[in-house]
Amino acid sequence: MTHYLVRRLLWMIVVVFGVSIVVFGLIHLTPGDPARIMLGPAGRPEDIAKLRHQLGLDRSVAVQYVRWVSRALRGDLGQSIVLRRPVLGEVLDRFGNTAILATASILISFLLGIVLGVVSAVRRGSVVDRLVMLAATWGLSLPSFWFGLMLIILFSLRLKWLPGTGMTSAINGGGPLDVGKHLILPAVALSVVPMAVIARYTRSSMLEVLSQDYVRTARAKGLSEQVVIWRHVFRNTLVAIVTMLGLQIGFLLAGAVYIENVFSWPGIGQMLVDAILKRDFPLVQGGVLLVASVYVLVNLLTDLAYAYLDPRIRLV
Amino acid sequence: MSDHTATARGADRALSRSVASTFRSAERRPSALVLMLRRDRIAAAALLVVIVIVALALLAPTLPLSSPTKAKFSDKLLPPLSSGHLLGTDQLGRDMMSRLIWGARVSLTVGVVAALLASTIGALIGIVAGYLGGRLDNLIMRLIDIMLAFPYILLAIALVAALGPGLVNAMLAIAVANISFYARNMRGNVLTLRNQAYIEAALAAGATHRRILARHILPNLVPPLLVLVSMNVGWMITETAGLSFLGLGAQPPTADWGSMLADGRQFITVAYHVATIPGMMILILVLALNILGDSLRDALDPRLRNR
Repeated sequence: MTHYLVRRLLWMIVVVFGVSIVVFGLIHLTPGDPARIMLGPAGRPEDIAKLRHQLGLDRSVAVQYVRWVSRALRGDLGQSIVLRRPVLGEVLDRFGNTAILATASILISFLLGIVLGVVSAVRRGSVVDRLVMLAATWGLSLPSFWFGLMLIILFSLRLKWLPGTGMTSAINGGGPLDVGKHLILPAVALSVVPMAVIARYTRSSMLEVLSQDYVRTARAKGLSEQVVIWRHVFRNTLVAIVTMLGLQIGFLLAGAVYIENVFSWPGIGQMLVDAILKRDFPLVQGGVLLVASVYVLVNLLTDLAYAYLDPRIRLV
Repeated sequence: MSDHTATARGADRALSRSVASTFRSAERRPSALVLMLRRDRIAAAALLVVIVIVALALLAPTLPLSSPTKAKFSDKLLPPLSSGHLLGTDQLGRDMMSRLIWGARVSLTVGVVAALLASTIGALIGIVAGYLGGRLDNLIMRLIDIMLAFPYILLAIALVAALGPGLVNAMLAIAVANISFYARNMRGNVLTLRNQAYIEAALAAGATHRRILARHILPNLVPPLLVLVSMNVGWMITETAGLSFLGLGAQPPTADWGSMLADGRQFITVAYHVATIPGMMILILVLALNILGDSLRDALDPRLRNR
């Protein structure tokens, strides 16, 4: 296990290093002079020169990268051009709000997705199974940004049950109750696609386990169906589901970009889109770097959980 | 000696004949597909939906539609079923039906081109990595791992940030973000094929790598690649529409379904059909494509049925 752990940790460092090169390289992919683009056509030449210097664009690429990374390691991701505040503070504030939304969606999509998947696997071929799988195919095809909008039209504008927008900040807002009220619609909208994926995946892994010899043995020795399903089948299915967790968290972090936009949720996704449209490169870089790093870390934790649950993995 | 080579040639020929016959059965698959569609009513309906949408998009210039860009403010935000405007009008009084059909051209083109780009480049990378193996394979897969470290749409968003918002850039970004998906899958397929006994036999019989790739590997990669593309193209259409929705894709006056949806957002309190209808079209098209993808997978790869 230690060997596996060390290898995974080292590899994670390499990946984060690679991610930092990609994120840094973005600014150099931009056609033309980033400083000129950021300041727009009204930018005065001396301001452009100043910004070029501030961004280090007057140095060689290698020097710029080393400077950027060593600063980033010390927690300095530069200054946002538009907001005129340190990128790190802004990114962390925003990430907290995204984390609330993503956590709520993980709970909804995993709990419901697993239950639906188990039910349709156990009652394979039944009406319930068909309905669940049909719903899952719909869920997979649903554009989340449109679904979010539909939720606003129905529950917020028509029925006036829940607020569609207006969440300002989890920390300075109207307390947990207010955040909760604002959270329901975006969390549901963000959960639909992952829920469909998890339901389908749970069903297929469960069916695979159900066809194993030891399940037949368990039934043959007279165990009740409850015990067979929950103790023998579901437990082994759970191992497979854990591997989905990492993937789906990545999906939620990315899907949050749309949902935050629709519901004006002040998270990192909304910040990224704003920053792109305003050509605020340091903010884009900082945001992408943070989200990608979190995702890499989540994947590491998933792999470790998987290795813990399934001893065969550790030996590979 | 010459006898020996002749035997080897004969073996290779016999082998390629047997492979050719499997390949021919792959060519005969359209009839199997027809059978599948007859058996699977839902898949047939999905195919019909896709054909209708594609036909409307292709025929848009010849259809008796009012101009999708001509504004008429006196007719703005008319609800569906108004006279002369079956699906109503948008905030500038433009006919929704006409805009949807013209928008379908943009959304379909962008999605399909992105899928073709990603699958071609991804498959090439996967084949090279899987067939050559060794250090190159290792390096390529490590780079793919780094691409996969970006949560799906985030890589596309980061690329749009660099290239600048726009329809072509959004399409390229979505394509690049999907390359890793195809590369990994194709590499896996090549690896499985490479370890098959008949490849070993062909090598032993003196077949060149070029011959093995062309006759034994590539034909066997077509069905899984087809399945991957059919299951992925719906996503590509949703995601490019999503980028347009965020303002990072199609820029006015070009409109795809995503940007029409975004335009309609401001009017959801007074006329929600402007935002509802384009999204519904995305859902219908993507749902049809996904159903087709599922049944295509079931038909071409029965082992995966019920997954």
